[in-house]
Amino acid sequence: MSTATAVLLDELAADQAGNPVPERLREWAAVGRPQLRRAGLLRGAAQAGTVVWAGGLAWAAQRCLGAAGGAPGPAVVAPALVTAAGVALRAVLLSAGETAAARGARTVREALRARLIAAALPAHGPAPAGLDDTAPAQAVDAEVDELSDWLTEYVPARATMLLGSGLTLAAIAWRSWFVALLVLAATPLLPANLKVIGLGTQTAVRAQLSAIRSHRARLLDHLRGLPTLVGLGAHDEAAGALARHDREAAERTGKVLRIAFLSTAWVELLITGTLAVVATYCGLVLLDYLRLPVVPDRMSLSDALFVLVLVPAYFAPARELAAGYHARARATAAAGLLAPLLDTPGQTVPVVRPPAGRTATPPGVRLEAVTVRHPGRPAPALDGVSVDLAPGRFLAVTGPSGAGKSTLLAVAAGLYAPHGGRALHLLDGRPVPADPGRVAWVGQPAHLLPGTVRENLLLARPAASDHDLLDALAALGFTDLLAVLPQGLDTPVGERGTGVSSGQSQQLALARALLRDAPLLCLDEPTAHLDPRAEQRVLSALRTLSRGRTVLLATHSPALLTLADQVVTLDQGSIR
Amino acid sequence: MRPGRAWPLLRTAASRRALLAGLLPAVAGELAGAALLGVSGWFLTTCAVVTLQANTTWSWMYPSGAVRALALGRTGLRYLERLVNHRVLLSAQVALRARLARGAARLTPRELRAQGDGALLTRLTTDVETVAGLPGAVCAPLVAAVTTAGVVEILLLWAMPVLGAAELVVWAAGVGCARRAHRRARARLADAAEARAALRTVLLGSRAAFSELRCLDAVPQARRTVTEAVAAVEDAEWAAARAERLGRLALRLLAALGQASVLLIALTTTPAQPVAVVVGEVLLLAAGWDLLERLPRLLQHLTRADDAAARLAPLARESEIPEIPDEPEKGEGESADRSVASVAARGEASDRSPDRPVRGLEAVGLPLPGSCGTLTTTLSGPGLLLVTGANGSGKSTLLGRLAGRLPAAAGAVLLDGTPVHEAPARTVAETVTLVEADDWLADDTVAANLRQAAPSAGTDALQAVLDVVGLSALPLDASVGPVGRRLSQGQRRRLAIARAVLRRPPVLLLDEPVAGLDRPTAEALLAALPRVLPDTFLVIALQDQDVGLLDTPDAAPTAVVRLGQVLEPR
Repeated sequence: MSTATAVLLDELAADQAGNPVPERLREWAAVGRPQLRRAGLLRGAAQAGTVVWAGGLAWAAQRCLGAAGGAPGPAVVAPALVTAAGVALRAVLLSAGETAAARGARTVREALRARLIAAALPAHGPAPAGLDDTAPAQAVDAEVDELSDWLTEYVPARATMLLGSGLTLAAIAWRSWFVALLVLAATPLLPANLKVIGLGTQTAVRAQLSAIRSHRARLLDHLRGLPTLVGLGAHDEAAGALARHDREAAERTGKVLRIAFLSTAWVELLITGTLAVVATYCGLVLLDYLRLPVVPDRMSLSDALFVLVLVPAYFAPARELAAGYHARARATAAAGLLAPLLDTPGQTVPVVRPPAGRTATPPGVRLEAVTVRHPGRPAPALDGVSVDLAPGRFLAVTGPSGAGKSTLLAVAAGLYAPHGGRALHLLDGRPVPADPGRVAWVGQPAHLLPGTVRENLLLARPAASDHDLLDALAALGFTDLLAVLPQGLDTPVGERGTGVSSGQSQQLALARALLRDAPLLCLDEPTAHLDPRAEQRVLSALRTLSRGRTVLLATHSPALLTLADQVVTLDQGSIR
Repeated sequence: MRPGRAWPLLRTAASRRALLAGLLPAVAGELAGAALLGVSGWFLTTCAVVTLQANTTWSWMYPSGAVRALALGRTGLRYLERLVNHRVLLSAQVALRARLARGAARLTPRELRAQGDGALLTRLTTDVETVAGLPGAVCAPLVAAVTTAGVVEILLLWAMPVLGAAELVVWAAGVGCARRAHRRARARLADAAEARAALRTVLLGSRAAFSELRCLDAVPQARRTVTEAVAAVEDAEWAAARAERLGRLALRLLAALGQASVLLIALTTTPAQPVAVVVGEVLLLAAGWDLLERLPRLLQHLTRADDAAARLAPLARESEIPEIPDEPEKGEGESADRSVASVAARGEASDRSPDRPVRGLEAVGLPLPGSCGTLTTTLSGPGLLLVTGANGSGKSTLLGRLAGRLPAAAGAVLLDGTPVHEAPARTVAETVTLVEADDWLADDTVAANLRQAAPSAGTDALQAVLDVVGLSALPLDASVGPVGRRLSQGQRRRLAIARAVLRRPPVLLLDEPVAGLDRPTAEALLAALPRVLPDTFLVIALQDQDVGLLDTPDAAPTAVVRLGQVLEPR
């Protein structure tokens, strides 16, 4: 169902509940607050331009009236210039206000993005658990932008309204206190409109909102089931049912909106109605027809025109504020998605940074009754697993997919803090908390970053020369690799390692591990998806790499198992 | 302005009449708004003039009544416009979504998975909404603004040609400014889109490689790269927004020029226009420029709708599945009778009448994962092919290839001589049914899930098939929950199997049907299947340890395929 409709209904429901903007949004906006406030004030001040414009127009009319009959001639040049100057002043101030608002919004967005990036790529401690990899990208790319309209339209709108409407009202009062009073009397009716209209529709609005949400769930369910539905030949029936449901929901929504739109109509009626009343009043006074106690019955044409054109200007900021509700609802929805990403509990692991690189002897690894639970899954990924690996030994972990092999490796590398138990590295027999700084990791599939092959290798040792890189490749028996790559070390690597084959990227990842020269080597299915020839190359490279290092290897491959000193079989999170 | 892609797509979902019905009140509403301001100003000035001239013949009643009528009319028209345009939005959305959901079925399962649920859902909600919102968000305000400006211009030309001509020049300059700003913003936005793609790439890549980066101590460097990408996006978008802002500033300054020139030209030339008329003209102009100020934003919205339409294009392609002549169209009213008809047709297909050739699949030289052998066999008529192998040995892949959901890497799976993954989905659905290991269940009742396979099946038939899979205790009206989560794994599997059994397909492929079942239930299920589907060729994939379950005389496999040699070391 339409998000705009959902937002509109949400807005109605929220308004009735008196739901304030979440505290989080306010907190995020604090960085840009000064600029946003300036934007509000500038926009409010732009109303002064409107006042000048009205003054010029009224002046011109008065001059012409004075020149009765004949052409006023050059007498109107000055008023015309004042009119134009008023419009120009408004234009410039509004533009400055927009720039300030955009700058403020940019500040807020950049700060928020920086926080999201820091949360997605923590420099210390383990990786954020249970996050879908696309969630941070979606947040940084799309959801942060949902705040923009709220920041530029809604946040400064209050200041705009106070200053702008205040200025206009003062100008009106200067020329005619009675019209000012009329306009002021209409004002309290503005904010009441949603509540007045909403009282009768609250239940319908709520019901509709949940209907819209359930339709979204249905749609998602349908998309998930598409292959099955097509396989059953039932797709057309299901699509038809979906469309029927969609249509019913749309019809009901139409009924609710008929009432909901009355609130907007009420605001419009108030503005146009006030304008009509003021016009009639001024007209009668000018005609000298009005004889009432207290009410002033004298007014010049200049006064009358001036106040008349300022009436819509007085209401304009309030109208913009009302339009900003949409932006607010959208920002609130985005905030709901962003907050959990920023709140990912930073699992604190003492940040001891031992010098990376080789120590005299490789470390041992000890896991003591390690338990890991992935959020949203009832069964633990690892259930009280204990492993003891002596320094320099080679441990292979095997078992069906989903048994917890990768999790075990991540815990042993210190990339993931277990929920129960401890993960330790043994340095010369002394147990210290597991730290990824001691580890060289080769994942499945081997990940290369966009850039060139050289840049990817240099990640491991930024100071290495091309010569060092070639040496590392040669040591692993990959001398022919660069000859195969179209531009050698300068071969570009695209998104998700496109440009090099999976076997080639695996070889590069192994070379990276050698360059890194870390004493503990963790390999997660290094030969999955490789053909037998490529597997053979990895196998022989592993023989070189494992010399003088402690190795943890997760694999299905029987060939790799032959390298291991020790084999552990995992099944559903425990050692079999 | 180019017609773009959004408009043709919208026209498939909204009738010309509906679009026009939304435009008319919008135009009338804006005209009434401008007229309200203009007439009020004229009215006041005239009042002052007649008082000055002591003219007693002039009646204030009509102008003042007109002001009130315009005020009311504007409110009513705006309300009507909102209502009509929202109705157009809702109905266009329903129509577009129905069409696109049907289009999504043409994507192969692989394409579907590559899209991800989230991306598809976004397309079917946000993108569809952007396109369907075009009439209310762009067309109505655009046409209303242009019409109002046009009417004001005609009035000016009629009242004083010199004035009209001068104003025409200023309008033209305004439109030119808006277009130029839009072109500039567009170019910048294209840069921004590129920068965004780069940002996503870097961020996704860094997240995927996080373990490696963390171990390489390269996280700060990756963060720097991502931050730079963010800055590039912001810079490009800043430039686009700046172009738009400058466009708006230029429009507003031109409004100043336009109003001042009306005052000067109308009042200084001889004979001068009456002052009341001039005031009315200036106010009308002010209202017109107020509307034109929105131009840059409207153009940007149009661009967004075009982009959304471009993303929807692959789903919106005209249907390539040849429709079977008697296949019911999806209509609202008659769908009930029609689905009965379609089931009857389907029933014929499965009640294999003697003159009808027995349908089946032919596997030719299909490579078997984990071994160098290939599979060449015919799957039709009664029979049972057992596929065994350890986890990850390629059982599901083999079944997926047989069902045409994955293209065969080498060799071929043929259905009536055509490769099965290229055959029309409907033909495949009539021949072969695959039950995946974790097959999808709709978030609905047990009965509704079963009726996907047989829309008109009676309660008895449904109960009977539940008995076959040993789910007799499961009430038909029980809800299965999202993705079947309210059922146990074994219940989910058996329900999916029951659904497939209802179709009585010539070839039935079952991926690990007994995982999560206790031994007696599993044995009963495997024994029951050949009994209730005597004409069906069964392909069953089992884990090695479950193969013993087939040691009953009822269900002895006619052929066995053993995949892979992956050992499970102890």
